[in-house]
Amino acid sequence: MSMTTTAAYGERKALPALRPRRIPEHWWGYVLLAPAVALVVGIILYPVAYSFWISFHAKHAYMPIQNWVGLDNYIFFLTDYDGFWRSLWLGTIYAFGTVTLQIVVGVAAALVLNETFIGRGFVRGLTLFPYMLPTIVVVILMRWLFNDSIGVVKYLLESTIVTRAIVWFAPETIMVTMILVSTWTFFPFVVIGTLARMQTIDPELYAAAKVDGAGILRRLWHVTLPQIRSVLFVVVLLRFMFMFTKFDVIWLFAGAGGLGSYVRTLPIYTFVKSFGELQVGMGAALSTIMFMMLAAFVALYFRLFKRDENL
Amino acid sequence: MQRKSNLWRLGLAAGIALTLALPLPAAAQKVVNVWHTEPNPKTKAAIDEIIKAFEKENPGVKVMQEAVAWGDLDKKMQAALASGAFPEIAHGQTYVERSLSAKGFLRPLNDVIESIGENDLFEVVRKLDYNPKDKKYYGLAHAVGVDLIVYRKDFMRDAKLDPEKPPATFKEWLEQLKKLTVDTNGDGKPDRYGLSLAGPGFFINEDLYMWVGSNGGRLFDEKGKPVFTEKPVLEVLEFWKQLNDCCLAPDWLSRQYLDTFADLATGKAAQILGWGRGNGYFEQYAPDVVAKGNIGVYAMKPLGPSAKPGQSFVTQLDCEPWMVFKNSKNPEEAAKFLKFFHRSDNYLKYIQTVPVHFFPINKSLRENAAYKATPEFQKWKFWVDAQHEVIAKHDPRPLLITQWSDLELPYIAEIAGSTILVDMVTDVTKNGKTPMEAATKAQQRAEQLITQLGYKKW
Repeated sequence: MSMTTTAAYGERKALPALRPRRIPEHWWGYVLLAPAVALVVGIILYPVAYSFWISFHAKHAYMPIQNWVGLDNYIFFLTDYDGFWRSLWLGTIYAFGTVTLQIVVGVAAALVLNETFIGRGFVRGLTLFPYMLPTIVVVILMRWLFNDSIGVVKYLLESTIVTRAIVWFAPETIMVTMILVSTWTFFPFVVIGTLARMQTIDPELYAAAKVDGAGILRRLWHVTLPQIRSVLFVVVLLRFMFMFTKFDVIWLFAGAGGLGSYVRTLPIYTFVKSFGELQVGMGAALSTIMFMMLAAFVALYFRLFKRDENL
Repeated sequence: MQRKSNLWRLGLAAGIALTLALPLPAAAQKVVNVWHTEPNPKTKAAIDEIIKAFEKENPGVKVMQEAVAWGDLDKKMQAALASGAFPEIAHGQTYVERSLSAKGFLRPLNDVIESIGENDLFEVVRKLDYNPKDKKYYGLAHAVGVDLIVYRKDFMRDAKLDPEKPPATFKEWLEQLKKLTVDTNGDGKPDRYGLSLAGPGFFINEDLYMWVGSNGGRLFDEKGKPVFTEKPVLEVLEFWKQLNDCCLAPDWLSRQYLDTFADLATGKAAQILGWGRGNGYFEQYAPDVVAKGNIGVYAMKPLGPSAKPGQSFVTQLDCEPWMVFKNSKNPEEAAKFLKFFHRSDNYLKYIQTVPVHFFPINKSLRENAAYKATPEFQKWKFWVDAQHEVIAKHDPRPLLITQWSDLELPYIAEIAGSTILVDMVTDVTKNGKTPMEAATKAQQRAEQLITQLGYKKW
């Protein structure tokens, strides 16, 4: 096929003939998608599938030992009361404890930061500070603040509010300490999400509620919370998944043995199995179980709370 | 057409530029990667100096050192082994060396040992790395040191105790520690504890096997079966419970190793179990205590009630061996570097960077005048002498080795990395279980783990 064009002011000039496309038009979609698909397959699907495959083996972490054991790894955990079930219980306490506190503190902070006051921009920036700190810095800082011998927080509490000495790093208190530290570190995530939504709530809703005689608490309950519900739905889901699989804070704070045995959540237990006992097959089985648990949790969560089509 | 031609030119120019920008291929040089666990800047600088001299003598060979924290080395090694990307040389635990050599990962180091002089090595160093089965050395300790009781002489005097008299038995030690646990500010609760122990699992493993060994016990029988319910182990657990109740801080499980040094330096504890490199910590944070000569070290440790007549106490030998990976790219150059490294002049430079902790592996260096003139020895000679006495006379052992035959067990690394022994101790000290209950549970877990790993032989 040849094409011609007409110059606005001049002679007609022939353009070179275009070759027909060698790749059919509809194939271009696949070609352009290919890099993204390759990335997803290579970076996400393959490791997950490999981990699933490994979970059916007795595989050593570095020795060339890999034997098929079928479902043995999974069956082992069914009766592993002091290991798996205890870790699941501790992980659930940690996840629910931190998520609940993060939501309460995060929403409360967002409500304050949504008001107008002098220095609001600075306070907003300051609120995000814990989330910006590297985990290792948080851990070192908190270990120092709560230290039984030289801790500033411990000293201030015991010299003002608390009447008896609290040992923050003892077996009976370490879970509470971990929940408090994790709440402090991660509540800004809730603030960011909810504050952004609060800023878009139509002021007329509050005006109408005021006209109807609603006080602060009723406006919070009947206007603010329903309006931020969709954001909270996502934030709670994400925070639960993040905290249930949280490794770094607990590991750096307490490790696996000694004090760590009182906060040995499933990710820590998985690490111990994979890199402590060097049983990678067991670790892979635990990862798969965690993945399935989270998938079940998400399904249940959606079923229970996704009533509004806006969610 | 013009546009297409421009694209070609652009592509060609970019290709040439990229080629010119690339460094020379690594194959032009033989690279020896060295992973070690001495991140101390002084030590790294000394190794750099040795490397420079080696590279000068061996053109075409480049040595790259990488200091890895102890806690990270095992994980880094696992990744390297799993991926096949071996370093040429690495530090490791002795049981890791045994395990790797049994699987054929390591190059024998007999030629390196010969270059130093086998008879010049301390007996314990030979015992560590010699594999009697095939009569080869697969490792070579870079230096040695021993774990000892470090204490405050002033606190001993305050408690009317003789600072120079070490406790001979667990019982005597407990009595001593009880007297050293005191309320100094009169608020009714102790604020100085007799002993400060490190709480992470690694250190609980350390203390457990040392005390079991000093109590005439073992962790595994002749067939490698765990024997945690034997009397010496149960007695150690009971001893630990008593220690916990009387003489350790309530949060001792959270104490890191260096925290214990801080405790001793600042007067929060009267005794710790420590290694020689801690001397720098005292000099920095408790110079007055050091100046007054109030830091002491016992050249012995107490024995338990079941210790056999005439037996010595067991303490830990710090003795990470150098290992050369057979399947790395340049194992021969690596061995050559180790020979160079252990030449007296070079080795002395290395040893003198942490002189109170790095005890030389060969006798001749110990007698070397330059070594003896190390400035730090003026203040800390007693610590070095104490180590020398223990290394020469008391048969210290590597981590988790209560008896030398345990080195042949292929699952020590897995037992050490598991939380089995640590949980046993915390079950007794913190969870209200009896020693027998805790030991029975630990024994079951250990047997299960060994079975799962496919090593069960009983």
